Formats: sequence, C-alpha cells, structure tokens
Amino acid sequence: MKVIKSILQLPRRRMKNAGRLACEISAIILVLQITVTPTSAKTISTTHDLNLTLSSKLKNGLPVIARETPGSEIVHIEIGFRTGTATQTPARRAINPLTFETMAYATRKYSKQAIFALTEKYSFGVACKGGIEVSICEMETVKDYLPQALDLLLSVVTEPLLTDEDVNLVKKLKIAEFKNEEQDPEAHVNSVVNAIFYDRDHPFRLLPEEGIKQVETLTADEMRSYQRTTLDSSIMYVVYAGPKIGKSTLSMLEIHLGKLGKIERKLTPVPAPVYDPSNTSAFDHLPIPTAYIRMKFNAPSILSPDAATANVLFEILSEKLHEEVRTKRSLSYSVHAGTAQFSQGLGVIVASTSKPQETLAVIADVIRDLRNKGVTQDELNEYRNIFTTTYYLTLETHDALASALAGYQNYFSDAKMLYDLPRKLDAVTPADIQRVAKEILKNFRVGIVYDKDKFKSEWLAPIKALQ
Amino acid sequence: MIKCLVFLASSLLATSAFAASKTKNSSKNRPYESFKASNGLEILALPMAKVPLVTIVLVAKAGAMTELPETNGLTHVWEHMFFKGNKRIPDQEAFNKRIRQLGITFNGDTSAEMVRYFFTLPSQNLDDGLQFMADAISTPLLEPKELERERIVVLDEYDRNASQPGFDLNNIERMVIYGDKEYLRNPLGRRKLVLSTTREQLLGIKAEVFVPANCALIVAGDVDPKKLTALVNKHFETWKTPDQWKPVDRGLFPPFPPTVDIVKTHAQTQNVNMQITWNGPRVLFEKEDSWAIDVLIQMLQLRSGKFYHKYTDSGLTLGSGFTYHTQGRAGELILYSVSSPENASKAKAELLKEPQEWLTPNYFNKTQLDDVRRSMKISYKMELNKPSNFAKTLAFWWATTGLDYYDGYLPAMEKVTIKDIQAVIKKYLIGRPYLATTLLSPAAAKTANMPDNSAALTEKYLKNY
Repeated sequence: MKVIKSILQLPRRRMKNAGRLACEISAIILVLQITVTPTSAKTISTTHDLNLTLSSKLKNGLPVIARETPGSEIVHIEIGFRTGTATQTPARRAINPLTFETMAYATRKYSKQAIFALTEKYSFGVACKGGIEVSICEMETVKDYLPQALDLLLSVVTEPLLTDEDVNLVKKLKIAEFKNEEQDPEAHVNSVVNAIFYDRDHPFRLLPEEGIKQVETLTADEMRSYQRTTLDSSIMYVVYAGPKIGKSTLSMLEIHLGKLGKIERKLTPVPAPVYDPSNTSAFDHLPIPTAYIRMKFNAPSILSPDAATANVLFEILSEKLHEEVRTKRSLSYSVHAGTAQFSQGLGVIVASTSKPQETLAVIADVIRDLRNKGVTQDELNEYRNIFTTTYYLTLETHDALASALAGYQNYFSDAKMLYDLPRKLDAVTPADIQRVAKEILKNFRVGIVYDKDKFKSEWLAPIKALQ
Repeated sequence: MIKCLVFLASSLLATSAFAASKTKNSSKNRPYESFKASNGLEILALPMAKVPLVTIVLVAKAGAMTELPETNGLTHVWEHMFFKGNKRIPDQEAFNKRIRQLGITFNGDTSAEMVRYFFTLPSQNLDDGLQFMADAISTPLLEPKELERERIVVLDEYDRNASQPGFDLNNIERMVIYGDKEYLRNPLGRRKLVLSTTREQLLGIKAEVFVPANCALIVAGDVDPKKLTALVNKHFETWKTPDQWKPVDRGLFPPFPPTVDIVKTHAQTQNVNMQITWNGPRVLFEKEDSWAIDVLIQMLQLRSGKFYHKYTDSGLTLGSGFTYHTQGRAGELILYSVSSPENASKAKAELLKEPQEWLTPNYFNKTQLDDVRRSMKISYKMELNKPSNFAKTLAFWWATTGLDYYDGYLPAMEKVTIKDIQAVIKKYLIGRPYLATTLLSPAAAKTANMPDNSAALTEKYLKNY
C-alpha cells in the first residue's frame, strides 16, 4: 500500500505490451509478439516445443493441452472458460469478474477455513479471474502437492458455494478496486478514452462508475446461477504445464470435468468499436503537473490474417515514438504503443508529457511517416530481433507458457498454433507493414487527463487530421 | 504501470528473501557460482538453460544512500545517461539500433541502496551483450547536450510521481523520519537539483560508485560459468577502480522521532489509506531481527490467521498487512490498511492496538510457523524457475545485504521461533514511537471524522521543495 517511490524504473520499453496493457485493461489479453530471428540470427526451432505439447480430449470432448517440461518440479494448470464481461448484457457485465473472483473462497467440499488450511499447508495458490472474453481458474504448485492442489482447483471450478457472506466481501473489494482506478491518472485516462471508444452497449465496455453500480446491485443468487452456466464443456479447456503429465492427473480431470454437458448458447460476434467523427476526444481535469494522453483505435483481431503483421507494426510504432518523442525531443518519459488482440483488436498510444501540444504533433508526424514511408527490410529485421527474446521469455515460466497456449486454444481451438507464430511473423514484409499501417493508423479517439488551464483542444488538430 | 511496477518490485523485495542456498557459507549448494574478474568485479553466474536466453545484470551499491544534499537524485539521472552513448556507441540512436540488432530487452532502476541495469538477450549474443554492457558502464560520454535533453525526461518521470495523490504525504513522512538525512532515502531527488545537473557532477558520481570494486555482474540463464570469466575479463578489463578508492559512507540516520499522527486530504484519493511506521531492523546492524520480522510478516499474511480474519475477512478493511522493506542501512516496519471512510476510524484505532494483540497467547501457533517455513522454501523454487527475474533478485541482495545474508536466509528462517517473533515485536513496536499517516479525500475526512492536520508540516517541509 505504500505509494512511495522507492525504486525508480525506466519504462519497460522492450517488455512493455503484455504487462502494460494487462494493467490498463485489467483483463486477460493475448499479446504475443513473437517471430523468428532475422537473417543475422538463428531461426527458432519449434519442433522441440511441438513434440512436448500433447493434445487430448476428455470423454465429453473437453480439450486437455499438456506442455511437458521434463524434470520440472513445478506444475501449473489453467482451466479456461470462453466467457467474460463481453458475453454478458450491458447491465450486468460486472457479474463475470465478481463471480470468478468469489469462486475460490469456498466450495461444497472445502469450507473457507479448509481452503485456507490446505493452501497454507502445501503452499500453493488457487485463484479465478474473470476476463473480457475468457475467464480462468488456475493453480500452481510443486509436483509433490499436485493431487491436493488439483482436487481443490476442480472443486473450485465445479462446486463453488458463492455464499452471501463471501459475495458481499468480494463486492466491497471490487468496488474499492474500481475506485482505485480513478485515483491513478494512468488508469483514469484509460477510462476517459474508453468512454468514447466504446459506445454504451459495446461488449468490451465496463467503466469504473458503471462497474460500481452493477456490483452494488448484483446478488449472490444471480452469481450462483451464472456460475452454473459456465460448466459447459463446449466453452472449457484445460492447459497443463509441468513434468510429464501423469495418469492420475488425467483421471482426476476426467472424473470431475469429463461428464460436464454442453449448453446450447447463441454466440454473438463482438462488433468493432464504431468511430464517431463527432466524438473523438475526451478531457478530464486533474490539477497534475504532467498530462496523461491515451489514444485508442481499431486494430486487427487475433483472428485476423493481419494479426502477425499488426504485432510487428506495433513494435515498430512504439520504437519510433520513443525515438522521436523521447530520445530526440525529450518530450516524454513514458511514450509507447501496443495492441490487445481479442476477437476484436485495439491499438493504444500512450504518453505522459508537460508539453502536450508538441507531443501530439510529433506523434502525428510519426504516424504519418509510417503510413507514407513504411520501413525498410533492414529495419524490419532489427525490430524482429526483439521478438526472438520476447518469444523465449513467453516460454520461460510455466504460467506464461500455459497462458500463451490457452490463448490459442481459446481463439483457434488449437493451442499448438502458438508455435506457428514465428513462421507467420517471419513472413511479414515491409509492404505488409505499410499496408496495415495505412489501414489502421487512423480514426483515433483521444483521452487526456491534465490541468484544464494548461491544455487547449485545438492541440488535437494534428491527430484529427489523420482520420 | 510504472508505479505498479515500482510498488510490485518493492513489495517483492521486501518480503521475498526466499532464495538462498541450503546452508550458510556452503557455496557448493548455492544455485549460483561466484568469481572475480581481473579488475575486481564480482561475477555471479546462475546457469539454467530453460530457454536460449541470458539475462545480464550490472548492479552497484549506489543510490540515494551515496548522494549528498546537493546531488540528491543525480544517481538516478546517471542511470538514465547510461543509455545515452559511450565511446564505441556515440549516441542514443546508435545505442537503440545496437539494442535491436542484439535482440536486447532492457531496463534499469535506482533505489535508495542499489542501481541495476538489466539486459535479456539470446544467449548466442552473450559475448556482444557483455561488450555492450561494458562499454556503457566504463566509457559513458555524458555529453552536455544529451544531459540537457535527458534532464527533461527525468523531470517528466518526477512529475508522474507528483501526479499521484500520495506524493506530498510520502515526502513529509520521509522528512519527519529521517530529518536532515532524508535525501539518503529519496532516489527521486529534488526537481531543482535534477534540472541543474552538470556533467562534472555525474563524473564525480561515476568515480565514487560506478567502479568495479563497488559493482557485481550477474549472468543467469543459458550460460556456461566456465567460459564467463574469460568473456568478462575480455570486455571489462579496461574498467578500473581508481587508486585510493573507498566505499562511500554517509553515516547513520538520526534516531526515530517522537510519535506523529498526520492526516492529509487529497481530492484524487478514493479509498482511505492508512499506515503506521516504526523504526525497524537494519540488516547490516540487526540481521537476526530482520529474519524474525520476515517470519512475522508471513505469519500475518496467513488467511487462516487472526489478523486476516479481523481486518480483511470481516470487511473492516479492504486490505491490511504488515510489511518491511529489507535494507542494509535503514528499516521501516509498516502496518497498513485501505478502508472505506465509514470504517476508517475504527480500523485505525484497531491497528494502533494491533502489535499488543500479537503478544497474546496462541495468537500465533506452531502449525502456522511450519506452514510459513514450507512456503518460503517453495517460493524459492518458484523464483528459481524464472532466471531472467532471479538475476535481478540476486542483484538486490548482493547490493543491500550481501550474499552471506542471502545464502543463510532459509536456514535462518528454520530457526526462528515464536519467542523470537515476540521478542522483535517488543523490541521494535511495543511502546516505541511511530509515524501514523492517513491519506483520504476531503469528503472522506468528514465521514471518518479525521480532519486534515497536515498544514504546519506541509508548510515546514514542502514550501520550498
């Protein structure tokens, strides 16, 4: 809780997107910036990873993906659900995070005290999180305690109690979390721009004030009933990362999840956020010494053929913004770009600055330059070098690996497509980059949080001129 | 996000001294190997070829603690200038290009007792990466023109901090606790000093703290320790410690002040944030106490425990805890909570009485102690599972406490008893002076009946800040 700046850190320029956007959107986001190396470096071989990744199905068809790491002492298991805030009606989007975050409090088999005792005795964690399109329950443990941890995880998933008492407690915590978003300018500017980026009924929209109202009115009965609808083998999957998966583990999964049925559901595709030329900027006054700027725009979804190109493009855009805004002109400490790829994609450009007029003008120049000139093959090769490192970092820990595999399982029903990304990214050409830049770097919605006496709306003109 | 990272980093460092070798001074059981380079630079190698990456961390025993009132915040400026060019790579644009060529993800951080630079890159580029790090640390150009530009960037970082509602209260708190030596705990420094930084000042800092005898190089991941020393010698040999060099020592902090209770309002604040700070153990002077404190912190985190039940599970607060940022030369023990305005007064009253509760019979039990010990061992395994991060953790311990402390950590945890925990509670908390701070909105202050009383301290400490 201590807010003191005890460590000063440069912006995470290279490791930025996943972390920053996760913080920004508070959801499970699939941002994979992965590629094979350019000509100067060795090519990533994914054969090894493919051989270690096993796909099977429980009797009811529920997929189980096992990524084995021989000799590993750690086991991470993620149970995913293709449900989230986006699959709820606008008036009850908050039911998803609230339900998932309460599930691990108590179950029919394990009382709250029993869960506390068990997790403390064996020192493992079991938690559930509700995301935008995907929600998860996961556990991590050392292999010796896998039977105990998995039994608890499966109980949390299949028979949570969601007691009135626990629901009320989590509601208070959730409201406090929404409020906290509003006191940090970095998080607050995200809400400010979201208010114009998403129309009132868009599935991805959940502003803090809307979330607070919804949480206040939701009941434990509604949540219990919602939770029952998540037990649907057609929207669930399991991803395991650890040593060779044992028969007993598969057997436990079969016993607890293998008999779950399928629920008929009508899946409505998420529409792209609509651009309204009459509503492209939003400002909120805070008497603070630096302006927080956040620009959002539509970008390729994870399902788009341009998803890989977009990943490279955003790395390039981010680097160029850093170079022009920070390195050459010292206009900002923190300036970067990123993308979040769901069934709809979005792009983000972020900057803090005490010179917003100049900063917005330079951002516009960088965008215009990228649209008009693109990049050379040599530049593209250099940017892709960074992806080599990012790719391997994705494979470094069990949880990151499970999460990456789960993302592909969710959107493509094929987790192994994770290993296909290097090939796709290697195929990206400078012409692809310029084409996608022209297509998506436009129709910006801009949110600004700053002192109203230090900002003029006409400074947004260079950005508006790019539409 | 930056704040998010900062908080996360400091929290983890405060409580995550999990990693240690199995026995004190038993180098054969440590997960890392240590060597000395020909120039005296300490090298730590953690071989773990999970993926074909290496992480290189260069850490210095430097930060606010090695500054003077007139140079406060300049070590942080130096950290920024590290990325601005050197004899081989003339400017930051060339520096950035080289970063891309080598596939480096990088960052740096500055705290009160440590400065770290860290690179992660494909292991096939280790040789080039080491040369890159060696050039940056040994031959920085510190061009006045670059410095002029970077100072503005640092100021934006400063302003981002100043945009947080707790900024002023944190500054007051530090000044109350550390008096005229407060700058030694303030890596961000003063705005006006940052703005007037000169090249000569930075060169002075370089000669004082960024020398091989005051630094360590940690390489983790896909690395062969046997080949590492030769590589380091090849690239770092021209980087020398000046003759007659001595470690910087700015002396001890003044005694903890008498009890002060500050309530400050800020319109941006949403929930009520309270903390009570006591003087705690400094690892360089009260090592054993710091171990007992760490176990106490873990015991209080147990959800089966009385503390969690009273403050979190009951709904009295939205989150409460006890924390301690392990440092060599300072120690702050902090009991904190976040609450609603309606519960703030009650929560604060309970928090102030809390340490006494911890001394009641059966507040802690042997089962909990065993659970905490087991948990720390498992956390250590989890930390080792991520070499790119573990290298940074190792760097922290090397700089702030020394590796003997670190290596002996888990065995020391095994020996901590409930009696030891009660002893540190009595020594540091019961009847000891404290600083209580509350940060809330003006509206919440009315609801909680906690009026702002910070005007005089604000005038005293921040008028010319």
